[in-house]
Amino acid sequence: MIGKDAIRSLKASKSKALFYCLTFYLTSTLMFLFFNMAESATQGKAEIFVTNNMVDLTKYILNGNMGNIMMVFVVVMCSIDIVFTNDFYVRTKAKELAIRLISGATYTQLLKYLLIQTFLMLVVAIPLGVLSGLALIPLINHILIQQGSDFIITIQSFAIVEYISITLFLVFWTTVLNASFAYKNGAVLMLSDNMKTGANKEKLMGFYSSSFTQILAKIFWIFVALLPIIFSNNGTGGIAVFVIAGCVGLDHVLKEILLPLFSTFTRKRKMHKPVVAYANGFLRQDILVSGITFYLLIADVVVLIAMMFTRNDTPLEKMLVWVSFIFIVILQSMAIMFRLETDLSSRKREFQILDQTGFEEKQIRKVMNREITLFYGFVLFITLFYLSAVYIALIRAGLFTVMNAVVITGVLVMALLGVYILTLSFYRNSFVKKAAL
Amino acid sequence: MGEIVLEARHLKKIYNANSLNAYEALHDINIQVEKGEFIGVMGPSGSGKSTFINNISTIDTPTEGKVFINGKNVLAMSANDIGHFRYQNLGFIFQDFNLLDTHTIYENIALPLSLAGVDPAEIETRVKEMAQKMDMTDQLYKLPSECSGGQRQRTAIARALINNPSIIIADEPTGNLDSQNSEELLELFQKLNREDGVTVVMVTHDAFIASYTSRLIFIRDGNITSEIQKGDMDEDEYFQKIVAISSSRKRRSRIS
Ligand SMILES: Nc1ncnc2c1ncn2[C@@H]1O[C@H](COP(=O)(O)OP(=O)(O)OP(=O)(O)O)[C@@H](O)[C@H]1O
Ligand SMILES: [Mg+2]
Repeated sequence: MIGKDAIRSLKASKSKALFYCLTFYLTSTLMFLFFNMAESATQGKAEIFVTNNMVDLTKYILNGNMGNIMMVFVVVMCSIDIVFTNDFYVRTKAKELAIRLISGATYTQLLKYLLIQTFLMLVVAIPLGVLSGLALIPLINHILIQQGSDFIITIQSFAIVEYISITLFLVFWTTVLNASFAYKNGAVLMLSDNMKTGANKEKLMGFYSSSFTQILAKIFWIFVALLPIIFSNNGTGGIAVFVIAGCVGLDHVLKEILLPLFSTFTRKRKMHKPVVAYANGFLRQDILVSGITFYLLIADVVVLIAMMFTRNDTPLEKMLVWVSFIFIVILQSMAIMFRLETDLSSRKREFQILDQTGFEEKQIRKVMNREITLFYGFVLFITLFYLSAVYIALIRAGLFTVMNAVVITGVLVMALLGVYILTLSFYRNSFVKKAAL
Repeated sequence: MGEIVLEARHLKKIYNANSLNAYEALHDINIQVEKGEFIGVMGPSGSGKSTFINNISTIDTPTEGKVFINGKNVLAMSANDIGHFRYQNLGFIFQDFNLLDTHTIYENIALPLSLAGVDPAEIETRVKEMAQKMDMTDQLYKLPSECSGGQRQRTAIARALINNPSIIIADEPTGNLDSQNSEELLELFQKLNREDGVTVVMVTHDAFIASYTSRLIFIRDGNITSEIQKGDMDEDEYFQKIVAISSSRKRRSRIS
């Protein structure tokens, strides 16, 4: 009974299920590859330590640490993605869950219902991811040999055990947490969409009604958001820390200064242009709900680049960083798109309302284009802004190469371009005009 | 006889036509609305009231029949012309409000003015004026999810009235309002109707609310079953008659 219902519910949200699988597929590939690489790297260095002198010992310790830091970092980032993905999937089901609860479902039934859905998707995604990882290893080895690497990746049997247990652990607990949240707040959830839209209680007016202390707070957050630029001569490692702090500042600057200003500007200057005015409103909402996902993109990109340049690494470790960089940029871009997609069901209805109040179909399409283009443009702009702090740090340290900058920026632009095109096509399909009047 | 602003001929609406669960919600509706009329639509739940007003007002497309608004055959208009036509002539208040949840109350109310390309400064003046009338001044920069049901309903009303429409189409506009707010709204409708000649078509369940109208249409199972004209009756008389008709209909439906 519960099993059948769960499968039906899964079918009903096909595109969300597809995203879920895709995210897990990519995290699986990356994490599996990563566990193998990290293990191989440590083993390889242990051999160097045995055969060489003391200078290599310090190098081993440093590099060993580097491998460990990378490992922790990538695992943490992938875990965050897994948690988010799982969270989004469950949250889109909030109303359905609430209705089940009100009609008397018990906590265990609810949990079973959710777990069946998530685990069915994992059964598809994880094996595919692991297989892709296995297929990539010979390719990476080939490049490593070309680069003159001392050692190559060997397949570590426990890498897969490590990966799968971490993933299952994360999925299980996020599902349990979501189920218990739904259980506690069932009745309230049924009456509001807040769980889905992330309870956005931002006061959009705030800026003009500020007191002196509020203005001081705003200046403080602007300062925090600009930390990475101000201290860009602090070495690449320091820059990474500053960027993470900067994201916290950015969050405040966006919610307390930029978005309210943007709303006021739209209201005072753009209200006579319906496409601009209402696309701006949607854009504001998109930025509010996707905040965390793109701060993570910024933090990931910056930390990985900082690592890339901090030490004179072996080819294997360089490879480790590049592979992580590319995968994480793709994953994180998908997370951003996924976040927008979660809101699309309610957005569909809003496009219909625009239609009913007199927007032409052409205008609604323009609203969509404008909203999505500006949104991804904004994400790219902010990311490049913080990236420039890193580039400045690299130039000062004499580590900057044009080639690297081009590749890094290129990967970022390509990934965002990809999700931009995908998001746009989802939006287009979401508004189908009822049989022409 | 006055000028006819809205006319429907042989209107039929089939939901999910050509499928297994096709459902004929309106059978053969004929109606003429004169300029300056205040029409009430009553009937049991599910009888087709919303379907009726959506189909005579360009919100939905009837399966068969013709609709004329201000002499124009709206079913023959292009989608774009319909868009212009809506924000220039019609003000809608939907049963479930249809507000943009991602936009502030201000932005929701301003929608028709924005579409008409009105200058931002004038939009601001008019929205604030309207907000004051609707007692929504303190809510202007909130999102609908932060407002009460009645406040959302008043937002929907404000949006419908802001562009001074010549026809107001309202589906249970008092559903979420307390009796005082309801009376205020009805008085506003009556004032617009009497002083500015605005035509109103309003669905309601409430006999007292219905007594503000000038003509009342009863719908049952997708047909117009009866009509009362206020004519020379005073409000009490009219109200008594409405109560009599709706309760006799209730009694009949209990027996059958
Ligand atoms: N989109 C739809 N698809 C299929 N059937 C519909 C649809 N909308 C309405 N109906 C059916 O048409 C009939 C009339 O519905 P309508 O919404 O017009 O009723 P109503 O008189 O407004 O009721 P209420 O007073 O409850 O609002 C109902 O039986 C309803 O189930
Ligand atoms: Mg109705």
